[in-house]
Amino acid sequence: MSGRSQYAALRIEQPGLLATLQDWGRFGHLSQGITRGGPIDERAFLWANKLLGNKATAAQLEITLGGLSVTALSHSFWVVCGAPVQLTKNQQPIPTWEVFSVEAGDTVRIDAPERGLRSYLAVAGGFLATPSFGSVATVMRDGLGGLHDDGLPLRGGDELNAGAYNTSGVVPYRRPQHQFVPRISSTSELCLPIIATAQYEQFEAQARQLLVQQTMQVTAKQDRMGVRLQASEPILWAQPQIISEPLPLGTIQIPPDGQPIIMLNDCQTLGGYPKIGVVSWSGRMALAQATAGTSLRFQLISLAQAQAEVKQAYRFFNLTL
Amino acid sequence: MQVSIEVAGIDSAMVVFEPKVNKQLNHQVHILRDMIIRAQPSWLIDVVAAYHSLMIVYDIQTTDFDRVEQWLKNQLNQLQQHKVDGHQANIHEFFVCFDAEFALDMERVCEHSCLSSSEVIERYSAETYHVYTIGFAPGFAYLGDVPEPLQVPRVDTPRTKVPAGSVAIANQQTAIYPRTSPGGWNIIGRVAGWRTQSGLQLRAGDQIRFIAVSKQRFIEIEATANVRFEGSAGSTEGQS
Repeated sequence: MSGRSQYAALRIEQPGLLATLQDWGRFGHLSQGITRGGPIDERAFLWANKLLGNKATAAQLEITLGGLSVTALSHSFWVVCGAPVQLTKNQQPIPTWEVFSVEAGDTVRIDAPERGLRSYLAVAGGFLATPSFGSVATVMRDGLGGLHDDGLPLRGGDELNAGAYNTSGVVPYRRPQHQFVPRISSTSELCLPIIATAQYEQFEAQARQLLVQQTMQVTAKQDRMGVRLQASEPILWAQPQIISEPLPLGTIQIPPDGQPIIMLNDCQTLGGYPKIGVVSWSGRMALAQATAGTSLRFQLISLAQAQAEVKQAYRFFNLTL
Repeated sequence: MQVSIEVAGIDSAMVVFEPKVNKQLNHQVHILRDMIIRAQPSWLIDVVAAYHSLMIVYDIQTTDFDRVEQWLKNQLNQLQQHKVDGHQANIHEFFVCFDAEFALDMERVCEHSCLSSSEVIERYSAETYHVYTIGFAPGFAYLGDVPEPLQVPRVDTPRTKVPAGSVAIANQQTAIYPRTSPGGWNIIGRVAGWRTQSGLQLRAGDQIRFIAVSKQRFIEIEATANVRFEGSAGSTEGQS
């Protein structure tokens, strides 16, 4: 790639259910009502960039429930991380979580995942688009980011360029050590670590107990904004309505029906429901791949533990903000 | 002044003032926000002010909650001792056409308030509105306070499409819809020359006035706004 600042990477043939361009997201604009965006499964995203030797925040495609078909436009190196999917290059199965080479004209397909929800397709150098507010992250509800900065998902015929990369930095067949590849199960119960925040103390003791002493289910009411849970014993707020407050990522909101909603990357910047806690990083990463019907249980941890988790991950992936 | 500093998230703290919707109190929140932005501590990632609360997102790789809390306490002390300049409120003026074509819920507002549409327009445009906070969507400013007789509750069934630039009322609050989106507020007019980016100029703590214009004037302003917009097409950034 010497002498070129970018190269033609791929053309979308079929985008599947939802394929969006995502980098690490927008920061510093919450006060304008602009949400963060970025990859829902940050861990899979960070792994994909790490395996290719990309900058930790380089833009990738986030593919929800597979169905993506693309044509490579140049020789390059790609990797697909995230949910376990059938990945093929020119109809031949190839492994996910492993760097592979492509030549111009190769067809790469990502089928619907056996388990989990989201896959990340990264290319050496990372995808390029014109950023707005410092990011190319697609946020549909804000009409920001994406290939044309209109917040729209990718469509058939879209062609994406990628940044130049150092060929000596790319290692074909590179993959994480086996124990690092997150296992996604649709049958075993998830344990989501949480910290107590905001109105936690104002909930009645019984509501606080119900938060951690019952199994809840992930519902189909979920998107990049948030995930609704189903609890057999609703968690009730006995106080008057609260005044809208800023809404941190990972917050567990309790609406009047007592069924928790966990806020994800595209959540609105303010919220008017009481908040009882925030899901830790590892918990949020598990939730990023949790299909409807997945059972989960919350477990309280300390802020120090929750921060240690993130710090360790950021250090591992060489991510500085 | 009753203030607490709480853990808001893994990487964020919340400063919570007295829980009420009040201009003076909200003003204090915005002064604190301005102080934080001016001080620009190296660990600051984001700061967002709402009605009675303010969230600070910090870099946990370089600081921790205890240090952020201590730093915020010092800022609050200065705020309480009035050792800081007041918030510089910008005043924005918008031309609004209240013609029936744009004022989809004017009848409803008239019924609730027992006022004629020209009385509603007069009362509504006489007020200077305070930007309490911005949220829900990019550039969606929560303005208040709507004069008492015009405080009409949200419509029963939200519209799936409220046109961009619509001026709307919900109880003591009013707002301009920054882009075409679903919405359940009472629509009483449309801002002339409104663009998706227009709302991004508004900051919490600013002041807003609405000036009633005729349909003819609305069309003229729209036409000039189009020329201006095409001249600056492609630049959505414009932010530091």
